[in-house]
Amino acid sequence: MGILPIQLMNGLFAASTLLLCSLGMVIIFGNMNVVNLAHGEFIMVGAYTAWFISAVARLPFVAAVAGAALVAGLFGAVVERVVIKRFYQRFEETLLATYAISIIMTQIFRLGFSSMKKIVELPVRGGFEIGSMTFPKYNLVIVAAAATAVGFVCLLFYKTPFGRRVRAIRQNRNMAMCLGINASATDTLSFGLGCALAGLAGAVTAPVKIVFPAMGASYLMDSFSTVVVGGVDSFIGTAASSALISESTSVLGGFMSEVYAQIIVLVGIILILRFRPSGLFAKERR
Amino acid sequence: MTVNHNSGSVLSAVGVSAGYAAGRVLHGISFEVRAGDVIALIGRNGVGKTTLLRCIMGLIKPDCGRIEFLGAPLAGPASAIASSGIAYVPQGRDIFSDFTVRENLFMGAQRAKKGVAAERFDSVLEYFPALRAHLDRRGGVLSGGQQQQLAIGRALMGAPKLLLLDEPTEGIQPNIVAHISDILGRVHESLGLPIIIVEQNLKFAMGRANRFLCMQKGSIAACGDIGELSEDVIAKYLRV
Ligand SMILES: Nc1ncnc2c1ncn2[C@@H]1O[C@H](COP(=O)(O)OP(=O)(O)O)[C@@H](O)[C@H]1O
Ligand SMILES: [Mg+2]
Repeated sequence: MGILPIQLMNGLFAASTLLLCSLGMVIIFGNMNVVNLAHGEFIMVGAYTAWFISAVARLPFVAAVAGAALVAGLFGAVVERVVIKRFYQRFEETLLATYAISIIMTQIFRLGFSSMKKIVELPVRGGFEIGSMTFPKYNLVIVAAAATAVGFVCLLFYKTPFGRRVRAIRQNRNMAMCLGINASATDTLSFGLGCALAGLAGAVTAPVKIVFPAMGASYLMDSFSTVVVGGVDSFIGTAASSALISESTSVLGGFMSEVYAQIIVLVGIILILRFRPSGLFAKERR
Repeated sequence: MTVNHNSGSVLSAVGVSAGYAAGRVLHGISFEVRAGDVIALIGRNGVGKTTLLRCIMGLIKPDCGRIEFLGAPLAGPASAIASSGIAYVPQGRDIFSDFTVRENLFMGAQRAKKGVAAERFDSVLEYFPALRAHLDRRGGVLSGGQQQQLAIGRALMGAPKLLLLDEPTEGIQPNIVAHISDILGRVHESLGLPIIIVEQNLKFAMGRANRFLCMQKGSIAACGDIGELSEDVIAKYLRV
Protein backbone atom coordinates (compact mmCIF):
# COMPACT_ATOMS: atom_id res chain seq x y z
CA MET A 1 0.00 0.00 0.00
CA GLY A 2 1.42 3.39 -0.99
CA ILE A 3 1.68 6.34 1.32
CA LEU A 4 -1.11 8.40 -0.26
CA PRO A 5 -4.09 6.22 0.81
CA ILE A 6 -2.77 6.19 4.37
CA GLN A 7 -2.45 9.96 4.39
CA LEU A 8 -5.95 10.30 2.95
CA MET A 9 -7.39 8.05 5.67
CA ASN A 10 -5.60 9.98 8.40
CA GLY A 11 -6.82 13.18 6.81
CA LEU A 12 -10.38 11.88 6.99
CA PHE A 13 -10.04 11.16 10.71
CA ALA A 14 -8.51 14.56 11.37
CA ALA A 15 -11.22 16.24 9.28
CA SER A 16 -13.95 14.54 11.30
CA THR A 17 -12.43 15.77 14.54
CA LEU A 18 -12.04 19.28 13.17
CA LEU A 19 -15.61 19.32 11.88
CA LEU A 20 -17.07 18.09 15.18
CA CYS A 21 -15.19 20.79 17.03
CA SER A 22 -16.27 23.52 14.59
CA LEU A 23 -20.02 22.87 14.22
CA GLY A 24 -20.97 24.79 17.36
CA MET A 25 -19.05 27.76 16.08
CA VAL A 26 -20.99 27.76 12.80
CA ILE A 27 -24.11 28.40 14.86
CA ILE A 28 -22.68 30.85 17.38
CA PHE A 29 -20.35 32.79 15.09
CA GLY A 30 -21.97 32.17 11.72
CA ASN A 31 -25.62 32.51 12.63
CA MET A 32 -25.56 34.63 15.77
CA ASN A 33 -22.55 36.81 14.96
CA VAL A 34 -20.95 36.21 18.34
CA VAL A 35 -17.20 35.60 18.48
CA ASN A 36 -17.07 33.20 21.41
CA LEU A 37 -13.50 33.07 22.69
CA ALA A 38 -14.66 30.47 25.23
CA HIS A 39 -15.54 27.99 22.46
CA GLY A 40 -12.62 25.74 23.41
CA GLU A 41 -13.62 25.86 27.08
CA PHE A 42 -17.05 24.46 26.24
CA ILE A 43 -15.22 21.62 24.49
CA MET A 44 -13.20 21.24 27.70
CA VAL A 45 -16.40 21.11 29.78
CA GLY A 46 -17.65 18.34 27.50
CA ALA A 47 -14.40 16.41 27.84
CA TYR A 48 -14.46 16.67 31.64
CA THR A 49 -18.11 15.68 31.80
CA ALA A 50 -17.32 12.64 29.66
CA TRP A 51 -14.41 11.78 31.93
CA PHE A 52 -16.58 12.14 35.02
CA ILE A 53 -19.43 10.04 33.67
CA SER A 54 -17.25 7.28 32.22
CA ALA A 55 -14.26 7.13 34.60
CA VAL A 56 -15.77 8.26 37.92
CA ALA A 57 -19.43 7.24 37.64
CA ARG A 58 -18.48 4.26 35.45
CA LEU A 59 -21.44 4.65 33.12
CA PRO A 60 -21.34 3.66 29.44
CA PHE A 61 -19.59 5.97 26.98
CA VAL A 62 -22.87 6.80 25.20
CA ALA A 63 -24.14 8.27 28.47
CA ALA A 64 -20.90 10.23 28.75
CA VAL A 65 -21.40 11.77 25.31
CA ALA A 66 -25.06 12.62 25.92
CA GLY A 67 -24.28 13.99 29.37
CA ALA A 68 -21.44 16.12 27.99
CA ALA A 69 -23.70 17.69 25.35
CA LEU A 70 -26.39 18.31 27.95
CA VAL A 71 -24.08 19.87 30.55
CA ALA A 72 -22.26 22.07 28.04
CA GLY A 73 -25.55 23.07 26.42
CA LEU A 74 -27.28 24.02 29.67
CA PHE A 75 -24.20 25.86 30.83
CA GLY A 76 -24.10 27.71 27.49
CA ALA A 77 -27.75 28.68 27.79
CA VAL A 78 -27.11 30.12 31.25
CA VAL A 79 -24.06 32.03 30.00
CA GLU A 80 -26.17 33.47 27.17
CA ARG A 81 -28.91 34.60 29.56
CA VAL A 82 -26.53 36.11 32.08
CA VAL A 83 -23.75 37.54 29.91
CA ILE A 84 -23.91 37.24 26.13
CA LYS A 85 -27.38 38.70 25.62
CA ARG A 86 -26.20 42.04 27.02
CA PHE A 87 -23.54 42.37 24.33
CA TYR A 88 -25.19 41.48 20.99
CA GLN A 89 -23.92 43.69 18.17
CA ARG A 90 -21.15 45.00 20.47
CA PHE A 91 -18.07 43.33 19.11
CA GLU A 92 -15.36 44.50 21.52
CA GLU A 93 -17.47 43.88 24.61
CA THR A 94 -18.31 40.38 23.38
CA LEU A 95 -14.62 39.60 22.90
CA LEU A 96 -13.76 40.80 26.39
CA ALA A 97 -16.70 39.03 28.01
CA THR A 98 -16.10 35.68 26.33
CA TYR A 99 -12.35 35.93 26.99
CA ALA A 100 -13.13 36.48 30.67
CA ILE A 101 -15.51 33.51 30.62
CA SER A 102 -12.80 31.31 29.09
CA ILE A 103 -10.32 32.25 31.82
CA ILE A 104 -12.85 31.79 34.61
CA MET A 105 -13.85 28.38 33.27
CA THR A 106 -10.25 27.23 33.00
CA GLN A 107 -9.48 28.39 36.54
CA ILE A 108 -12.57 26.79 38.01
CA PHE A 109 -11.61 23.46 36.49
CA ARG A 110 -8.05 23.89 37.70
CA LEU A 111 -9.32 24.46 41.25
CA GLY A 112 -11.88 21.70 41.11
CA PHE A 113 -9.92 18.99 39.33
CA SER A 114 -6.26 20.16 39.54
CA SER A 115 -4.12 20.62 36.43
CA MET A 116 -3.53 16.89 36.22
CA LYS A 117 -4.40 15.28 32.93
CA LYS A 118 -7.45 13.05 32.94
CA ILE A 119 -7.69 9.91 30.86
CA VAL A 120 -10.88 8.80 29.17
CA GLU A 121 -10.67 5.12 28.19
CA LEU A 122 -11.31 4.21 24.57
CA PRO A 123 -14.79 2.71 24.48
CA VAL A 124 -13.94 0.80 21.31
CA ARG A 125 -10.60 -0.94 21.20
CA GLY A 126 -8.62 -2.64 18.51
CA GLY A 127 -8.02 -1.81 14.92
CA PHE A 128 -9.31 -2.46 11.47
CA GLU A 129 -7.28 -3.15 8.39
CA ILE A 130 -7.30 -1.63 4.98
CA GLY A 131 -4.79 -3.45 2.82
CA SER A 132 -1.69 -3.77 4.92
CA MET A 133 -2.48 -0.81 7.17
CA THR A 134 -4.19 -0.91 10.55
CA PHE A 135 -6.20 2.03 11.87
CA PRO A 136 -7.81 2.37 15.31
CA LYS A 137 -11.46 1.33 15.25
CA TYR A 138 -12.36 4.32 17.36
CA ASN A 139 -11.51 6.58 14.39
CA LEU A 140 -14.62 5.21 12.71
CA VAL A 141 -16.68 6.31 15.71
CA ILE A 142 -15.36 9.84 15.30
CA VAL A 143 -16.18 9.84 11.58
CA ALA A 144 -19.68 8.53 12.27
CA ALA A 145 -20.23 11.05 15.06
CA ALA A 146 -19.18 13.94 12.81
CA ALA A 147 -21.40 12.76 9.95
CA THR A 148 -24.35 12.31 12.30
CA ALA A 149 -23.84 15.71 13.89
CA VAL A 150 -23.72 17.48 10.51
CA GLY A 151 -26.82 15.63 9.37
CA PHE A 152 -28.58 16.54 12.58
CA VAL A 153 -27.84 20.27 12.43
CA CYS A 154 -28.70 20.45 8.72
CA LEU A 155 -32.08 18.83 9.36
CA LEU A 156 -32.64 21.02 12.38
CA PHE A 157 -31.81 24.24 10.55
CA TYR A 158 -33.44 23.53 7.22
CA LYS A 159 -36.38 21.28 8.05
CA THR A 160 -37.79 22.34 11.40
CA PRO A 161 -39.71 25.40 12.62
CA PHE A 162 -36.91 26.12 15.10
CA GLY A 163 -34.34 26.22 12.31
CA ARG A 164 -36.51 28.50 10.21
CA ARG A 165 -36.91 30.84 13.17
CA VAL A 166 -33.14 31.03 13.65
CA ARG A 167 -32.64 31.73 9.94
CA ALA A 168 -35.43 34.32 9.91
CA ILE A 169 -33.83 36.15 12.83
CA ARG A 170 -30.48 36.03 11.09
CA GLN A 171 -31.95 37.61 7.95
CA ASN A 172 -34.09 40.29 9.60
CA ARG A 173 -34.38 40.32 13.35
CA ASN A 174 -36.99 43.08 13.62
CA MET A 175 -39.25 41.58 10.98
CA ALA A 176 -38.96 38.15 12.57
CA MET A 177 -40.09 39.66 15.87
CA CYS A 178 -42.93 41.51 14.15
CA LEU A 179 -44.22 38.12 13.01
CA GLY A 180 -44.34 36.91 16.60
CA ILE A 181 -41.00 35.11 16.85
CA ASN A 182 -39.56 35.31 20.35
CA ALA A 183 -36.06 36.31 19.31
CA SER A 184 -34.43 36.30 22.72
CA ALA A 185 -35.68 32.79 23.57
CA THR A 186 -34.44 31.61 20.17
CA ASP A 187 -31.04 33.21 20.87
CA THR A 188 -30.74 31.34 24.16
CA LEU A 189 -31.65 28.04 22.49
CA SER A 190 -29.23 28.50 19.60
CA PHE A 191 -26.37 29.55 21.85
CA GLY A 192 -27.09 26.55 24.07
CA LEU A 193 -27.19 24.31 21.01
CA GLY A 194 -23.83 25.62 19.79
CA CYS A 195 -22.33 24.93 23.22
CA ALA A 196 -23.94 21.48 23.35
CA LEU A 197 -22.24 20.64 20.05
CA ALA A 198 -18.92 21.85 21.48
CA GLY A 199 -19.51 19.65 24.53
CA LEU A 200 -20.33 16.71 22.30
CA ALA A 201 -17.09 17.26 20.39
CA GLY A 202 -15.16 17.38 23.66
CA ALA A 203 -16.66 14.07 24.77
CA VAL A 204 -16.22 12.21 21.48
CA THR A 205 -12.61 13.32 21.08
CA ALA A 206 -11.70 12.93 24.77
CA PRO A 207 -10.43 9.32 24.43
CA VAL A 208 -7.89 10.38 21.78
CA LYS A 209 -6.90 13.72 23.33
CA ILE A 210 -5.53 14.81 26.66
CA VAL A 211 -8.11 16.23 29.04
CA PHE A 212 -6.83 19.12 31.16
CA PRO A 213 -8.16 22.56 32.18
CA ALA A 214 -6.28 24.63 29.57
CA MET A 215 -6.98 22.26 26.66
CA GLY A 216 -9.55 24.63 25.14
CA ALA A 217 -7.06 27.14 23.76
CA SER A 218 -5.75 24.77 21.11
CA TYR A 219 -9.24 24.24 19.67
CA LEU A 220 -10.17 27.89 19.23
CA MET A 221 -7.97 28.90 16.30
CA ASP A 222 -8.47 25.64 14.38
CA SER A 223 -12.24 25.90 14.62
CA PHE A 224 -12.18 29.57 13.81
CA SER A 225 -10.14 29.22 10.62
CA THR A 226 -12.21 26.22 9.50
CA VAL A 227 -15.48 28.06 9.95
CA VAL A 228 -14.21 31.19 8.22
CA VAL A 229 -12.90 29.24 5.22
CA GLY A 230 -16.20 27.35 5.09
CA GLY A 231 -18.24 30.50 4.71
CA VAL A 232 -19.11 31.17 8.38
CA ASP A 233 -22.77 30.17 8.42
CA SER A 234 -22.67 27.05 6.26
CA PHE A 235 -22.59 23.55 7.79
CA ILE A 236 -21.77 21.90 4.49
CA GLY A 237 -19.17 24.57 3.77
CA THR A 238 -17.56 23.87 7.13
CA ALA A 239 -17.59 20.14 6.42
CA ALA A 240 -15.86 20.81 3.12
CA SER A 241 -13.30 23.16 4.62
CA SER A 242 -12.57 20.64 7.42
CA ALA A 243 -11.87 18.07 4.73
CA LEU A 244 -9.79 20.47 2.67
CA ILE A 245 -7.66 21.67 5.57
CA SER A 246 -7.13 18.26 7.18
CA GLU A 247 -6.56 16.34 3.98
CA SER A 248 -4.03 18.81 2.62
CA THR A 249 -2.18 18.91 5.94
CA SER A 250 -2.15 15.14 6.10
CA VAL A 251 -1.18 14.53 2.48
CA LEU A 252 1.53 17.19 2.50
CA GLY A 253 2.74 15.75 5.81
CA GLY A 254 3.50 12.52 3.97
CA PHE A 255 6.08 14.25 1.82
CA MET A 256 7.63 16.75 4.21
CA SER A 257 7.78 17.52 7.89
CA GLU A 258 4.48 18.14 9.69
CA VAL A 259 5.54 21.70 10.50
CA TYR A 260 6.10 22.64 6.86
CA ALA A 261 2.80 21.06 5.90
CA GLN A 262 0.99 23.16 8.49
CA ILE A 263 2.70 26.32 7.32
CA ILE A 264 1.75 25.65 3.70
CA VAL A 265 -1.88 25.03 4.66
CA LEU A 266 -1.96 28.19 6.75
CA VAL A 267 -0.61 30.21 3.81
CA GLY A 268 -3.28 28.55 1.67
CA ILE A 269 -5.98 29.64 4.13
CA ILE A 270 -4.67 33.21 4.07
CA LEU A 271 -4.67 33.19 0.26
CA ILE A 272 -8.21 31.83 0.13
CA LEU A 273 -9.43 34.54 2.46
CA ARG A 274 -7.50 37.15 0.49
CA PHE A 275 -9.39 36.27 -2.69
CA ARG A 276 -12.65 35.05 -1.15
CA PRO A 277 -13.00 37.06 2.07
CA SER A 278 -16.38 35.57 2.91
CA GLY A 279 -15.11 32.02 2.58
CA LEU A 280 -15.26 29.29 -0.05
CA PHE A 281 -18.90 28.44 0.42
CA ALA A 282 -20.50 31.74 1.35
CA LYS A 283 -23.90 32.35 -0.13
CA GLU A 284 -23.74 35.33 -2.42
CA ARG A 285 -25.60 38.09 -0.59
CA ARG A 286 -27.09 41.08 -2.28
CA MET B 1 -68.65 62.17 13.82
CA THR B 2 -67.99 58.86 12.14
CA VAL B 3 -69.51 55.85 10.55
CA ASN B 4 -69.18 53.40 13.41
CA HIS B 5 -70.80 55.07 16.39
CA ASN B 6 -71.48 51.96 18.40
CA SER B 7 -68.48 49.88 17.56
CA GLY B 8 -65.79 49.29 20.13
CA SER B 9 -62.29 50.64 20.30
CA VAL B 10 -59.62 48.49 18.71
CA LEU B 11 -56.58 50.63 19.34
CA SER B 12 -56.24 53.82 21.28
CA ALA B 13 -53.19 55.99 21.73
CA VAL B 14 -53.08 58.72 24.34
CA GLY B 15 -50.30 61.29 24.49
CA VAL B 16 -47.69 59.06 22.88
CA SER B 17 -44.23 60.59 22.52
CA ALA B 18 -41.33 58.61 21.11
CA GLY B 19 -38.18 58.91 19.08
CA TYR B 20 -34.64 57.75 18.53
CA ALA B 21 -31.38 58.44 20.30
CA ALA B 22 -30.94 61.37 17.92
CA GLY B 23 -34.10 63.06 19.15
CA ARG B 24 -37.81 62.90 19.75
CA VAL B 25 -39.93 62.38 16.66
CA LEU B 26 -43.48 61.92 17.96
CA HIS B 27 -44.96 64.55 20.26
CA GLY B 28 -48.08 63.64 22.21
CA ILE B 29 -49.96 61.61 19.60
CA SER B 30 -53.55 60.65 20.44
CA PHE B 31 -56.00 58.83 18.22
CA GLU B 32 -58.37 55.89 18.16
CA VAL B 33 -59.01 53.03 15.76
CA ARG B 34 -62.51 51.56 15.98
CA ALA B 35 -63.83 48.31 14.67
CA GLY B 36 -64.36 48.52 10.94
CA ASP B 37 -62.06 51.49 10.45
CA VAL B 38 -59.68 51.91 7.56
CA ILE B 39 -57.53 54.86 8.55
CA ALA B 40 -55.35 56.73 6.11
CA LEU B 41 -52.30 58.06 7.93
CA ILE B 42 -50.98 60.85 5.75
CA GLY B 43 -48.42 63.62 5.88
CA ARG B 44 -45.23 64.73 4.18
CA ASN B 45 -42.01 62.72 4.22
CA GLY B 46 -40.27 62.69 7.58
CA VAL B 47 -43.22 63.75 9.76
CA GLY B 48 -43.07 60.49 11.72
CA LYS B 49 -45.63 58.16 10.13
CA THR B 50 -43.28 55.18 10.01
CA THR B 51 -42.07 55.98 13.52
CA LEU B 52 -45.66 55.90 14.78
CA LEU B 53 -46.24 52.43 13.27
CA ARG B 54 -42.92 51.20 14.68
CA CYS B 55 -43.97 52.51 18.05
CA ILE B 56 -47.33 50.68 17.94
CA MET B 57 -45.43 47.55 16.91
CA GLY B 58 -43.09 47.80 19.90
CA LEU B 59 -39.95 48.27 17.80
CA ILE B 60 -39.37 51.54 19.64
CA LYS B 61 -40.63 52.27 23.13
CA PRO B 62 -42.69 55.39 23.80
CA ASP B 63 -41.04 57.87 26.19
CA CYS B 64 -44.47 58.64 27.56
CA GLY B 65 -48.11 58.07 26.77
CA ARG B 66 -50.21 54.94 26.55
CA ILE B 67 -51.31 52.63 23.77
CA GLU B 68 -54.13 50.17 24.36
CA PHE B 69 -55.14 47.35 22.05
CA LEU B 70 -58.51 45.66 22.56
CA GLY B 71 -58.71 47.05 26.07
CA ALA B 72 -55.28 45.92 27.27
CA PRO B 73 -52.12 48.02 27.39
CA LEU B 74 -49.68 47.20 24.58
CA ALA B 75 -46.42 46.15 26.15
CA GLY B 76 -43.45 43.91 25.66
CA PRO B 77 -41.26 43.24 22.67
CA ALA B 78 -42.54 43.26 19.08
CA SER B 79 -43.04 39.50 19.23
CA ALA B 80 -45.55 39.84 22.07
CA ILE B 81 -47.39 42.63 20.29
CA ALA B 82 -47.54 40.58 17.09
CA SER B 83 -48.89 37.65 19.08
CA SER B 84 -51.61 39.82 20.54
CA GLY B 85 -52.95 40.30 16.99
CA ILE B 86 -51.29 43.23 15.23
CA ALA B 87 -49.71 42.54 11.84
CA TYR B 88 -47.22 44.90 10.23
CA VAL B 89 -46.23 45.36 6.61
CA PRO B 90 -43.23 47.68 6.85
CA GLN B 91 -42.09 50.26 4.36
CA GLY B 92 -39.70 48.34 2.11
CA ARG B 93 -41.67 45.14 2.79
CA ASP B 94 -38.85 43.22 4.54
CA ILE B 95 -39.37 39.92 2.78
CA PHE B 96 -36.97 37.18 3.95
CA SER B 97 -34.97 37.06 0.76
CA ASP B 98 -33.35 33.64 1.41
CA PHE B 99 -36.71 32.00 2.06
CA THR B 100 -39.05 30.80 -0.63
CA VAL B 101 -42.40 32.50 -1.14
CA ARG B 102 -44.07 29.57 0.60
CA GLU B 103 -41.68 29.76 3.58
CA ASN B 104 -42.20 33.52 3.79
CA LEU B 105 -45.95 33.03 3.98
CA PHE B 106 -45.76 30.36 6.65
CA MET B 107 -43.43 32.57 8.71
CA GLY B 108 -46.51 34.75 9.19
CA ALA B 109 -48.41 31.95 10.94
CA GLN B 110 -46.14 31.45 13.95
CA ARG B 111 -48.90 30.74 16.43
CA ALA B 112 -51.20 28.69 14.22
CA LYS B 113 -51.52 24.92 14.21
CA LYS B 114 -50.45 23.19 11.01
CA GLY B 115 -53.96 22.63 9.66
CA VAL B 116 -55.09 26.17 10.41
CA ALA B 117 -51.98 27.59 8.77
CA ALA B 118 -52.63 25.47 5.67
CA GLU B 119 -56.18 26.81 5.43
CA ARG B 120 -54.97 30.38 5.73
CA PHE B 121 -52.33 29.66 3.11
CA ASP B 122 -55.07 28.62 0.68
CA SER B 123 -57.15 31.71 1.31
CA VAL B 124 -54.16 34.04 1.03
CA LEU B 125 -53.39 32.49 -2.36
CA GLU B 126 -56.99 33.16 -3.36
CA TYR B 127 -56.43 36.83 -2.60
CA PHE B 128 -53.05 36.85 -4.33
CA PRO B 129 -53.17 34.25 -7.11
CA ALA B 130 -50.12 35.91 -8.71
CA LEU B 131 -47.98 34.36 -5.94
CA ARG B 132 -49.04 30.85 -6.87
CA ALA B 133 -46.59 30.54 -9.75
CA HIS B 134 -43.68 31.62 -7.52
CA LEU B 135 -44.20 29.53 -4.38
CA ASP B 136 -40.84 27.79 -4.62
CA ARG B 137 -38.80 30.79 -5.72
CA ARG B 138 -36.76 32.79 -3.26
CA GLY B 139 -38.50 35.90 -1.96
CA GLY B 140 -35.51 38.04 -2.87
CA VAL B 141 -35.92 37.52 -6.62
CA LEU B 142 -39.54 38.72 -6.81
CA SER B 143 -40.50 42.07 -8.30
CA GLY B 144 -41.53 44.92 -6.02
CA GLY B 145 -45.22 44.36 -6.67
CA GLN B 146 -44.95 40.63 -5.99
CA GLN B 147 -43.01 41.32 -2.80
CA GLN B 148 -45.68 43.73 -1.65
CA GLN B 149 -48.38 41.13 -2.23
CA LEU B 150 -46.24 38.58 -0.42
CA ALA B 151 -45.74 40.92 2.53
CA ILE B 152 -49.48 41.56 2.83
CA GLY B 153 -50.18 37.86 2.43
CA ARG B 154 -47.63 37.04 5.13
CA ALA B 155 -49.34 39.54 7.44
CA LEU B 156 -52.73 37.94 6.78
CA MET B 157 -51.32 34.48 7.58
CA GLY B 158 -51.34 35.53 11.25
CA ALA B 159 -55.12 36.20 11.15
CA PRO B 160 -54.53 39.64 12.68
CA LYS B 161 -57.09 41.84 14.43
CA LEU B 162 -55.40 45.00 13.19
CA LEU B 163 -53.27 45.51 10.09
CA LEU B 164 -50.60 48.20 9.76
CA LEU B 165 -49.48 49.01 6.21
CA ASP B 166 -46.60 51.39 5.55
CA GLU B 167 -46.69 52.83 2.03
CA PRO B 168 -47.91 49.71 0.25
CA THR B 169 -47.91 51.41 -3.14
CA GLU B 170 -44.39 52.87 -2.96
CA GLY B 171 -42.49 52.04 -6.14
CA ILE B 172 -45.18 49.77 -7.56
CA GLN B 173 -46.71 49.79 -11.04
CA PRO B 174 -50.20 51.38 -11.32
CA ASN B 175 -51.98 48.16 -12.35
CA ILE B 176 -50.60 46.32 -9.30
CA VAL B 177 -51.58 49.27 -7.10
CA ALA B 178 -55.15 48.91 -8.32
CA HIS B 179 -55.02 45.19 -7.65
CA ILE B 180 -53.68 45.67 -4.12
CA SER B 181 -56.33 48.30 -3.41
CA ASP B 182 -58.92 45.82 -4.60
CA ILE B 183 -57.61 43.04 -2.37
CA LEU B 184 -57.44 45.30 0.67
CA GLY B 185 -61.07 46.23 0.05
CA ARG B 186 -62.06 42.56 -0.13
CA VAL B 187 -60.02 41.65 2.96
CA HIS B 188 -61.52 44.52 4.89
CA GLU B 189 -65.05 43.61 3.86
CA SER B 190 -64.88 39.86 4.35
CA LEU B 191 -62.86 39.88 7.58
CA GLY B 192 -63.95 43.26 8.92
CA LEU B 193 -60.26 43.82 9.58
CA PRO B 194 -59.36 47.31 10.82
CA ILE B 195 -56.44 48.78 8.88
CA ILE B 196 -54.08 51.73 9.26
CA ILE B 197 -52.52 52.65 5.91
CA VAL B 198 -49.66 55.10 5.63
CA GLU B 199 -49.89 56.46 2.13
CA GLN B 200 -48.46 59.14 -0.15
CA ASN B 201 -50.80 58.10 -2.94
CA LEU B 202 -53.87 60.12 -1.98
CA LYS B 203 -56.11 58.54 -4.56
CA PHE B 204 -55.31 55.10 -3.19
CA ALA B 205 -55.78 56.26 0.40
CA MET B 206 -59.06 58.03 -0.27
CA GLY B 207 -60.38 55.08 -2.21
CA ARG B 208 -60.01 52.71 0.72
CA ALA B 209 -60.20 54.73 3.93
CA ASN B 210 -63.22 55.89 5.90
CA ARG B 211 -61.15 58.20 8.10
CA PHE B 212 -57.87 60.06 7.91
CA LEU B 213 -55.15 61.17 10.31
CA CYS B 214 -52.88 63.85 9.02
CA MET B 215 -49.48 64.29 10.65
CA GLN B 216 -47.25 67.32 10.76
CA LYS B 217 -43.86 67.39 12.58
CA GLY B 218 -44.69 64.46 14.83
CA SER B 219 -48.18 65.57 15.84
CA ILE B 220 -51.67 64.93 14.53
CA ALA B 221 -52.51 68.13 12.67
CA ALA B 222 -55.93 67.14 11.35
CA CYS B 223 -58.25 64.17 11.44
CA GLY B 224 -61.79 63.23 10.53
CA ASP B 225 -63.98 61.35 8.08
CA ILE B 226 -62.39 60.87 4.72
CA GLY B 227 -65.10 63.13 3.23
CA GLU B 228 -63.78 65.96 5.38
CA LEU B 229 -60.32 65.69 3.85
CA SER B 230 -60.58 69.04 2.16
CA GLU B 231 -58.48 70.69 -0.49
CA ASP B 232 -57.33 73.09 2.27
CA VAL B 233 -55.98 70.27 4.42
CA ILE B 234 -54.27 68.71 1.44
CA ALA B 235 -52.70 71.99 0.43
CA LYS B 236 -51.58 72.80 3.94
CA TYR B 237 -50.17 69.44 5.06
CA LEU B 238 -49.42 67.42 1.97
CA ARG B 239 -48.32 69.55 -0.98
CA VAL B 240 -44.61 70.00 -1.05
N1 LIG C 1 -33.73 54.76 12.84
C1 LIG C 1 -33.78 56.11 12.99
N2 LIG C 1 -32.88 56.73 13.79
C2 LIG C 1 -32.91 58.06 13.96
N3 LIG C 1 -33.81 58.88 13.38
C3 LIG C 1 -34.73 58.33 12.57
C4 LIG C 1 -34.77 56.91 12.34
N4 LIG C 1 -35.78 56.66 11.50
C5 LIG C 1 -36.36 57.85 11.22
N5 LIG C 1 -35.73 58.86 11.87
C6 LIG C 1 -36.10 60.28 11.82
O1 LIG C 1 -37.40 60.39 12.33
C7 LIG C 1 -38.14 61.33 11.57
C8 LIG C 1 -39.43 60.69 11.10
O2 LIG C 1 -39.15 59.63 10.20
P1 LIG C 1 -40.24 58.65 9.66
O3 LIG C 1 -41.04 58.18 10.81
O4 LIG C 1 -39.55 57.63 8.85
O5 LIG C 1 -41.13 59.61 8.75
P2 LIG C 1 -42.19 59.25 7.62
O6 LIG C 1 -42.47 57.80 7.66
O7 LIG C 1 -43.36 60.08 7.96
O8 LIG C 1 -41.59 59.67 6.33
C9 LIG C 1 -37.26 61.79 10.44
O9 LIG C 1 -36.73 63.05 10.77
C10 LIG C 1 -36.17 60.76 10.39
O10 LIG C 1 -34.96 61.35 9.99
MG1 LIG D 1 -42.13 56.34 6.23
